[in-house]
Amino acid sequence: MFDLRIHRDKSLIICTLLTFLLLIASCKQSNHEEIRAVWFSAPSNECTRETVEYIDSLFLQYQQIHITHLFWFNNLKDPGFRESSFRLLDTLIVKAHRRGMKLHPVFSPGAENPVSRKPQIKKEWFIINIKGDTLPCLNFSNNEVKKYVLADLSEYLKHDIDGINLDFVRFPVNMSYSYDDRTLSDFEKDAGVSFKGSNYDCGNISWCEWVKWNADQVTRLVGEINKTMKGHNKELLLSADVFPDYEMAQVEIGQDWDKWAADKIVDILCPMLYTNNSDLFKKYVEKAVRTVDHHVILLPGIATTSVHNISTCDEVVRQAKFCRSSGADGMVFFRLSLKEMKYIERIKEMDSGL
Amino acid sequence: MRFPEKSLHCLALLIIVPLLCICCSLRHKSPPEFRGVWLHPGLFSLNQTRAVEQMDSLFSFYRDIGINNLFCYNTTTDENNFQWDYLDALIKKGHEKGIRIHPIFYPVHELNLEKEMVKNPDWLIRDMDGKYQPHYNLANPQVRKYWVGKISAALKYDIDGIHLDYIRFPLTQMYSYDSATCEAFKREFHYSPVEVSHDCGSIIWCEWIKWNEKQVTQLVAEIRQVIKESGKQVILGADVFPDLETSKVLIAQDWGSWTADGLVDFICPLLYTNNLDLFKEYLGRAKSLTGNKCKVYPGIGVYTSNNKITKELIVKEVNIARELGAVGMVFFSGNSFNKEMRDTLKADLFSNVYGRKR
Repeated sequence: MFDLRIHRDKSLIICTLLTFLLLIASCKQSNHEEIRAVWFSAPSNECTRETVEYIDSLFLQYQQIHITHLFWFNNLKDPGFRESSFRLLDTLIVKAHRRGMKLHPVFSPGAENPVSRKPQIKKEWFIINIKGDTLPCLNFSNNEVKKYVLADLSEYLKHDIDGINLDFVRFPVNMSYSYDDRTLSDFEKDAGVSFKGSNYDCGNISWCEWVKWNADQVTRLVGEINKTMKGHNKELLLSADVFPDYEMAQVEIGQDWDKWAADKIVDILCPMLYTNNSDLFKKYVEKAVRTVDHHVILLPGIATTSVHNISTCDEVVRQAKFCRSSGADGMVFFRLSLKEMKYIERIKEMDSGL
Repeated sequence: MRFPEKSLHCLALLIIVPLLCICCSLRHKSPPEFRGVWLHPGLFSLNQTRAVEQMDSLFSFYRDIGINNLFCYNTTTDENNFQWDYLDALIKKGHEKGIRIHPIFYPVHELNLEKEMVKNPDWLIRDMDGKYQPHYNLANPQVRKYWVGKISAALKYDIDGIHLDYIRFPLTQMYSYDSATCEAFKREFHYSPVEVSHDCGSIIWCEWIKWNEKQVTQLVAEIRQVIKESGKQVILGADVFPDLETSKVLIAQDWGSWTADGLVDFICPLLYTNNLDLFKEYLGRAKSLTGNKCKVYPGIGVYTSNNKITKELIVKEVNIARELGAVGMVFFSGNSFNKEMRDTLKADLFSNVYGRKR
């Protein structure tokens, strides 16, 4: 009888302790701020009444689904729209801040038009691929290009932005590195090897070095962008949109994002995991979580509709829930507009526990 | 309590002498350094008697300069023009000279397209435009079965190893888009690779690359299994491209998983370069990736499409390999050594045979 009472008391103490621990854990969980970002576009590049009204409605919806960071697709780089786009940027910043959201213009350093009206862009800055064709993308292995990109970025930093979202910070797909004479000569000087006269394939060590060297050039540029931003204001956040698998990205497009995470040269990584296959989404999120290993913030990209997928509302919600449970720091949606209210409504339902 | 000094000396001797004996016996039993060359059948006459004489002379020469393993191309009757058993002759002469023989099998080596179109068109790689390519598609289970069958036949001989070359897809990302392959992929991933973006921005495309990697690895596993089932002490080696990351993505050759899973006994990263820093870096990387699970014998290019080496560089590359703990090396190829190189190997680098002084 006596023993039984002792056991009962012990059990009671253990239960109380466990409940207490669970409470602490749940408090900790609820205090953890999930980062929710979205890529969005404005209906025009002008700061017109219609645009502002649209933005007001859109930001209200975003606020209701607890979006914390806004990545804005823009025309800031286009000389024809530059002035009006920067005016719109200032308006967006004010409106985002009023609703407690951070605004990050999307900055795509690689994408430029070869017949661009920008006088400062030189013809020889564009990629000349292995076939000798000029591509509509700047060659990040050219040091003048890196300087130009940093100068271009400085325009953005004059505004009250909260960060920069780097998109297209890579070489074009399918290993489109630049085989122009200057780049090859820079590689030879830097790496101390040449693959001229030998095979242009991965059986050749020198060519493997070439692939790595090009990836290093992109990494250097990202590092310099980060340094420039932090030099301007150390609170600014640098995020980068990256391809789903870092092992393939580093070989095929020179995007060595596991290194970016390890070296902390970005603050946020957004692997664009656009698929309507839940199993694959999970697999790639888990790999990204392992790769990034909490060195930087990880926001897996969930697409409602993209060139790779058209997802149902349920699928989007499933993926969002998986991001929460996987160890990622949040998620970023591509994209949520007022035309796609069904997704926004479904996210609201998710948040209300329905 | 104090031990008398004499007793202490005796005790020390009792411990040290057996230890020395054990060390010596271990040293004696340590495997010989693996010194190989890749060997083409073109070096031998079509006439059997003449060919055997040539083998006798060449293998004596190899033995003299310290070569102890031969990777032999085109050893099966369907691969060469000999009207006699070339592999049998190689084995007999090799073993007579103390040299081990490893027939080479190269699953995606370039084929005679016209001939293959008559024989097995379904086995060939078809590009995205549906055009046949002169290479077998390793994603086709029948192709894998064919290679396993060939290797199974070779295992009936008294060979010392099976050596895999071209164990990959052709350069660069030349996977097969034939309907059977696309269907097999679609069964797993719900999309055909032709239906998605053909770049690594697409998750399905990333999976397509990995799926092809798995097909190659599957063949290596099947070969490993047939060797195991033969019950013979035959070692399995593979020629691999220098860099694991680019090999996986561009030729579906995931040699990291082969070594980690014990599918091969050794790999030969083809490190054909005159740049000693790169040779050292890539060999070091392969060594650290494989750890103790698999031996690494670097491929040293004597005369290749990527480099033409000198006598001095051979010495340096062999010494780097030894410094990094590689217990062997293989030269490409057996007929590319000039007199200077031969003399250097004999008099200097390989002056000790099998780890013992001559």
